[in-house]
Amino acid sequence: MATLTTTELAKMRNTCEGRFAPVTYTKAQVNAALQAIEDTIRTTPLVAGQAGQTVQQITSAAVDASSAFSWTNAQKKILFALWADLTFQKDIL
Amino acid sequence: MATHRLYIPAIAFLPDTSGNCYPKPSSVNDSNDFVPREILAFKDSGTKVSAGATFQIPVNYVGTPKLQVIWKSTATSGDVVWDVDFVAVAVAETLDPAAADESETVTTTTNGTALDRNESEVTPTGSTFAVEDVVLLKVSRDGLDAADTMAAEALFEGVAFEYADV
Repeated sequence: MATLTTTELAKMRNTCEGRFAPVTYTKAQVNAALQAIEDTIRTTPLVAGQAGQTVQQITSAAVDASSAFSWTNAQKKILFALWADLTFQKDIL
Repeated sequence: MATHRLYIPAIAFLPDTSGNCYPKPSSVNDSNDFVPREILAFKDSGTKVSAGATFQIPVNYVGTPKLQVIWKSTATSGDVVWDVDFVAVAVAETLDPAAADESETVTTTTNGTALDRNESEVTPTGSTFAVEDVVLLKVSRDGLDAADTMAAEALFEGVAFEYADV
């Protein structure tokens, strides 16, 4: 687990902005959702060895619990994709 | 006594070199594009980004100055923190100042309808300006301030300088 940096969060927020317009959430809400994905995938013991669908449900629940904002499933997919893109590029490079 | 307004459009402003503040055709975000024009985008960068311009204090200026930042956004929630710094320069004073005469801050919640006009007003002290001063004006979005919560670009249209005459 890592705390996502302000630069990383800003980069992902900027991509969200184009895809989610109009933006109805705040910085804190999208930051919390992205950090919840990071924390869940990297540290939750339940994730290891679970089926893909279960991991998806755990991650989705973590995003739901991260703030009062109601993310749609389509938005959650994009948030996860952004997190994965950032993370895997960072880890590989 | 009457109230006057001098408008300085976004195109008169030079963005800083951060890459997080840049000229943008309004049509990129507008749906109707009825009046094509250039605006400045202040990105949601988590940093402080700025743009600067100059104007001259009109000869009928007496006092009651206000500076209004006029902007819009594709967001329908969140706040933007605007910092407005300025230096009033009289004849034989430096046009290369190292610090502002005055710095003001205002936090404004964006309109609940995307692309509606937002106005963020600061009130300088009346003694800062004198007739025919050249004002060096810097407008910044302070993304470092925790109160700046809007997760979208602030689309800057310009600044209005309001004042009263005799």
